[in-house]
Amino acid sequence: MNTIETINKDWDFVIGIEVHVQLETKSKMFSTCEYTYDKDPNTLTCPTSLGLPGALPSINEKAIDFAIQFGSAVNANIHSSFSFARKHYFYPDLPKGYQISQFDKPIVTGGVVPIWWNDKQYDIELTRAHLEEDAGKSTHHLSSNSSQVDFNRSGAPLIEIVTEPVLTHPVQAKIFIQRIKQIVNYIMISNAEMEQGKLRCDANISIKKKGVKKFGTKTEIKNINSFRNVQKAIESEIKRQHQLLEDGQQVKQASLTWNNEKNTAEIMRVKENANDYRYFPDPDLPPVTIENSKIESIREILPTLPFEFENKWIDKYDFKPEEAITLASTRYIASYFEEMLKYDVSPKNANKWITGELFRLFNGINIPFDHSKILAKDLAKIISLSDSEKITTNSAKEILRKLFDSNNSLETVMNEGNYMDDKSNNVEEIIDKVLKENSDEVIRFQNGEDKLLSYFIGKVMKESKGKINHKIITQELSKKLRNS
Amino acid sequence: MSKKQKVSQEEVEKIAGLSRLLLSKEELVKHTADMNNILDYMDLLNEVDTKNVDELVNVHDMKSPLRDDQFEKPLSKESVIENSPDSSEDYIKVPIVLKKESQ
Repeated sequence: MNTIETINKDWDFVIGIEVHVQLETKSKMFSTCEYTYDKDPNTLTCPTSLGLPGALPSINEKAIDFAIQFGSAVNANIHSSFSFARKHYFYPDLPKGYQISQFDKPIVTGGVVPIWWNDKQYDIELTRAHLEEDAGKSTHHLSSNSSQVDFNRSGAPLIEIVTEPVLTHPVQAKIFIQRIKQIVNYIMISNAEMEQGKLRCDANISIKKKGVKKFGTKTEIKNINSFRNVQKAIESEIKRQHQLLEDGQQVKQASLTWNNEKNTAEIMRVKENANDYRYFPDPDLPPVTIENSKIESIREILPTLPFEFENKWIDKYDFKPEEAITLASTRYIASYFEEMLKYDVSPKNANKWITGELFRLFNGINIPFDHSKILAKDLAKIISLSDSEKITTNSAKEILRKLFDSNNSLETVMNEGNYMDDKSNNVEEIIDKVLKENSDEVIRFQNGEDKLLSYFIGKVMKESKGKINHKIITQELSKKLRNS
Repeated sequence: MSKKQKVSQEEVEKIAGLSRLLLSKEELVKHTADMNNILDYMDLLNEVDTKNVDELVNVHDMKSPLRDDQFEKPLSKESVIENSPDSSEDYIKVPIVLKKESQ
């Protein structure tokens, strides 16, 4: 079997992605019905989300605000006038027979998502982003020949983000989707947890011989449920198409569904085209017009975005892309880093301590980065004490761990550990003690065994529990040994 | 009826299928004629000059109002289940649909 990289030598991959992100509003897209993940089945419904006759939709303004936030974040066109359309299809989890979506007049068009791939930045162009409602959730029971439907999710707000067919590699596609998750996390419109179904994606894939302009026939893989499977699903489909074409056959336009158990893409059906959905403007929902001032005020409160941080740090502090990417990975880490700089820690040093010691502590107990565990000003203080050699690196790490493991203040931890003892006295006392206990070695040293110096240093370090700087110990020891 | 048909009988059958309607041979003939009549009528409407008229998306000359993101008490699970044709545990039970037909 050919690998993706060998196929890629002669063939170009053309990939487009659709990402559905569930918006974290309190109520549903078109009804005053609560939605939260993980509630008992069929406990969060209302006439509208059940599609009962006569129920009317009413638009959740928060969902619109969130779509505007997303549009602003990716520098897209945000339309002050847009409308909703009905997309018709039959499925038990969609009781009214159509999904309210957007068709010819979406709220957001265009836009660019910058991503990093192999240390290079790529601007992934978006076609559009539109609002729609989610369907219910059905689970199938082959044995009883029935499906069970839970309508809690029915009507939850979604934003569907669609790219142009500009992605060129399965890994790049995976990185793009991770970036979307990061952006919606930064602007806090969704936690976008894939395992909770809050981020779902479909991939459109075709391949063409290098140098050929015309796109090949595309297929669509639906229902991909993890970042790892995005890459796997696209790879498997590229291989399938490549095999067909190498065998002189044709790729048929089709929808495939990703089987998460078998790790294969299965052909569902020959794809229907947009006509079959019989889109038309939803007569229950006249067009929406929003004030430009609303768009402007949302733009103004937008936080700094991950790609803005990355570019700034790379330009200003000479960071490598991967360093910047790691620090910008979440909004909390990025703002923590920025806060450290305010306390006069150098960017390189702040990066070293955050991604080194701090990450080690969080990874150790497997929790995400939390800025309140160790305050930026405390870490800054510890770094400054360590840099000015008032405490050793070892002590600094120990203090950090104690701060991390307890709710004590930095002051308490410092006092309890005697890290800041009057070190000149202390070091003399310890050295005196060590030399007294090792009088034989002292004589041997004085008789010319120079290498015993490191033996004494080790003893003093041990005695001081690593709290005294190596340089000071050496200095003081040499002084004492010469004079004794 | 010498004019070229705008919609063929096959297309009407397909459209009926999309709406899960099963039409008899006679019904197909009738509905094909009806649909063609409707589309012919559109030709008449198309003769009106609408160059300077804005598109009308909704017959109500109004804009959709927006609502605050607040929720109310949901329907009780019992009433939802009670109104469904069949249920199992807390779920609404439907005949199995193996292949997702759309979406």
